[in-house]
Amino acid sequence: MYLEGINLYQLKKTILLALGLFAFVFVNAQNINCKIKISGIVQDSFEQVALSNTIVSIDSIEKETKTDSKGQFTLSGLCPGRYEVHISHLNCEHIHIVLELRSDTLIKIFLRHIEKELIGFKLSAKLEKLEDLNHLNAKNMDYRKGQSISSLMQDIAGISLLKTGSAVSKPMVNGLFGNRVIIVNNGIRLEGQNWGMEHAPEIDAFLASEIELIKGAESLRYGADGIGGVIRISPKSIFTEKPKSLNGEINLTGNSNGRGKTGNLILGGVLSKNLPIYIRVQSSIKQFGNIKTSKDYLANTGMSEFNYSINLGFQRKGFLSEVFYSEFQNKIGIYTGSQVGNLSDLEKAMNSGTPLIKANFTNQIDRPYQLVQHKMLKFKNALQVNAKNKIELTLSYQKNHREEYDVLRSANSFTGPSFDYYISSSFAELVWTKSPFHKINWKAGLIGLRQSNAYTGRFFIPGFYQNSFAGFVIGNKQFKKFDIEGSLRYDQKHFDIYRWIGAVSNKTQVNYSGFAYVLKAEYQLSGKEKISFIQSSTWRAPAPNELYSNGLHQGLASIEIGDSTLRTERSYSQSLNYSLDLKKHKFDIEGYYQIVNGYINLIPSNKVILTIRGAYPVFQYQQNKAALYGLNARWKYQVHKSMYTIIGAQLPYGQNIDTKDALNLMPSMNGKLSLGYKHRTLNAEVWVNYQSKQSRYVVGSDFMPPPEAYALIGFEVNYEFKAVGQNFKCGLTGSNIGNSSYRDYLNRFRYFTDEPGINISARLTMNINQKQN
Amino acid sequence: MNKQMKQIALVLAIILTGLQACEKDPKPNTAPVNESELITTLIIEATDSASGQKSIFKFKDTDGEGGNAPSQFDSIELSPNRTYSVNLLLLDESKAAVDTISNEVLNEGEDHLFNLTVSNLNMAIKLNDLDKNGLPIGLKSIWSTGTSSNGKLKVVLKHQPGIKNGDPALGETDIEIEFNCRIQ
Repeated sequence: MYLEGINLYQLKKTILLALGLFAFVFVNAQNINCKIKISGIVQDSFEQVALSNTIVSIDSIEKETKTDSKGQFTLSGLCPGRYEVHISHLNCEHIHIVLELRSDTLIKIFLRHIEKELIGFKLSAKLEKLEDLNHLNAKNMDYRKGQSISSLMQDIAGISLLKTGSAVSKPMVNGLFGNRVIIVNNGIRLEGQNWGMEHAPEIDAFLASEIELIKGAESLRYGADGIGGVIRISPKSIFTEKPKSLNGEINLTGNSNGRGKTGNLILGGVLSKNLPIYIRVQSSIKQFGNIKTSKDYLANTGMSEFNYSINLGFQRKGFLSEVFYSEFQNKIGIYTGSQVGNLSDLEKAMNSGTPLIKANFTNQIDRPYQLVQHKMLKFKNALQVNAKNKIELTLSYQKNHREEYDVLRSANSFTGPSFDYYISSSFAELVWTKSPFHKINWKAGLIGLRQSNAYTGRFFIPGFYQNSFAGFVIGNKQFKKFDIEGSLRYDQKHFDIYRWIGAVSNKTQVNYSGFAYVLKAEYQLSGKEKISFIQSSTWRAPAPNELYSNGLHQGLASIEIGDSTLRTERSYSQSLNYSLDLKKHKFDIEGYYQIVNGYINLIPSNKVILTIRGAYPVFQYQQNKAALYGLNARWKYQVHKSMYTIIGAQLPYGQNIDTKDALNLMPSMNGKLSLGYKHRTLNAEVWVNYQSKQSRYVVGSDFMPPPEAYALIGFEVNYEFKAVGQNFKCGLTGSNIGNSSYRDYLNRFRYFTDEPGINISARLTMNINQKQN
Repeated sequence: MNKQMKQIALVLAIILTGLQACEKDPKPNTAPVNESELITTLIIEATDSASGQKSIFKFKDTDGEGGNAPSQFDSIELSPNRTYSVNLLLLDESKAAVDTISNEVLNEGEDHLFNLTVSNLNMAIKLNDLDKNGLPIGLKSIWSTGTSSNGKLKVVLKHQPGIKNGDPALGETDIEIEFNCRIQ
């Protein structure tokens, strides 16, 4: 390294770190007038590989150059003064740094070579990613290999899981879930049967290398209806593959509870140096048998999953193109005792402390079960026109096929699924990034979506076609201590809804349109303290089930009735975040207050419907004004060089303003206390999770009052080592190690069974790195 | 956009359209097929063993649970101090070709059990058929009425695959109807 003097202070330390960018500036000899030279080298922060064809420009004096094959560049003939230097690489973040030039300067820049759609100095990130409330990085993922995609998310502040048994879970952000939370997988918005509480996101968790909850201006790129938030799951960029080497990973995990096994293989490389085609293939499998609570095995609670993906990339000069195809398929057994015929069955199941259906361990899955298949094809192209302009075109196709097999009354009457839904979505997005323009970094895009939803078997939601168009603009500007960003989006959605009565269809057309905006201001109180404020207004059209569902909700012995007169929901949300970063203390607190006008909620009516199976209670969709507010906080204290403790707490509240009642199905207050030890490549953590009893609910609105509070103990040990020339990571995780019996308010199966008992999982990761000649 | 990009975009557009065209999935604008099983109708045929006179009582809800209300829900009227031989008939009338579900129940008798209970009624009920394991099914029964009274008669059908032992509390409920019943 070339070290002569570091004028690090000339760079804004915080901005620099917030970007994952590390720049060392070295000052050379004296220089006079306009003969100053900036030279430097640009490398990838992940693999430390030189990045060629990176555009380095100073807009104020219209100077621009590109890095050579060694990643080096020079800009000469500069006068002393303050310059904003922009660094753009096709598939890295666009960044800029401010330099106070007095003499020849040498800089070394590390770019985050991950495919993230960032604009300028975005990311509300903290100095150390691990402590970020809204973000999980590759390291966090490594520790959680083998878990489901939803359970990976629950370490993000504000995220709880809404579960159906042990194998189905979906994220809930500050009490909002389903259609109110957008999940973006690999740059594409996931389009599945999001509306169902018992539908988990169809994503292979082994592909995730980063997960974040986006709350800033960028969130509107993915939709205006994510009024709960946008969860973005990013894989490792295909362009991190290197020529002349075969890279990859093998992951294996084993679990004591359910005797679960998972395996994953990733292999990637570059075809040849002359033909820069990047290739990666991946496949994972998962199998669990019957899960055991603290005492009993639960009948038919096994699951299996098989996924694969193929990723191809092409990159030459200012152009890149990527094709990604993945298939996800799982079969999830549903606890047999949960399929109740009527209200008396449900009451009997609830009043029995132990499962009514006795079981032993088996891997076999019988009815009732879910079979879900999700295919995704993505084709992305990006063209770096020049230093200031980048154009991206993304096309994608997704197909989701969900089958639910209920218990049959007669073994030979019918063998197909009872409930069978198909949703397919074609999506196109054109995005233009212009940075800077009038000192503001811009991104603008146009989006089109065509979706079709059809079904056979039992009716629950009607078939429909959706045609939607949207346009968005995102802008971002930095001042010395301020960072301001804003976005505006307009959506036009058209639905053709087909409701079938026998062979006669009743076609309804509905249109929704509206604007949404997000504003964010971030103020750097000092190098160690930061405060940010987000204000947004977003909206969501009622989903077809909220409008037209009219039927039996199997398993809950209730009838859900939609309301075709429902209007759109409009949310006004504000949040304030304060973060402090000292040597020994890292502290983050976030407060939020959200008003939703026309919040669509499933509310019990006092009606019952008489059926051949007895009288069923009726739940109806209604709109009310709702408020959601709360606090999320986390404090990390470095007790000693290798010891730390983390305290996190979440206090979410929901209130129906019209009826002055609590909103149902809100997470209760919860917290986690962890004690950690880190020495070289060994990392160990012990924690206690506490979930309070939900006391805020409307008496009589639920079949059963919320379960008691509980505390669970868990631990994790991770160790990295080298053997046979390869890197290995191994780990052990224990959950509910006290083998407590407890039930969770956000698990729909709380009526029937306890949560899983103790589980110990072991994992091994081997990195493959074969150099070839 | 350069030429290369245009070409690739075109190729993909063709693939995308092709993919969607090839799929043989159901479409929103074609009528959905529902093959799944439904019990829409319960018919009680009570034959007076002395006179041979047959009375018929029905519960009928052709669109299944939810949707429209039951189209027929009779009260049961019986005479005092008689013995009735009763047959239960289950139908699926949601389809054009009416399906007799009680035949399935009979064929899989070892998985099904009717439970007939009375309240405030002077009537005794005895199940009068057996499955291949020697346990009652309840498609056939003998009802013996006493003096005049006014009460309820509840018909419950339980699905008990592999667990049937004569206990009517076990299993999942396929039918649960409470009829008004009068003996006079």
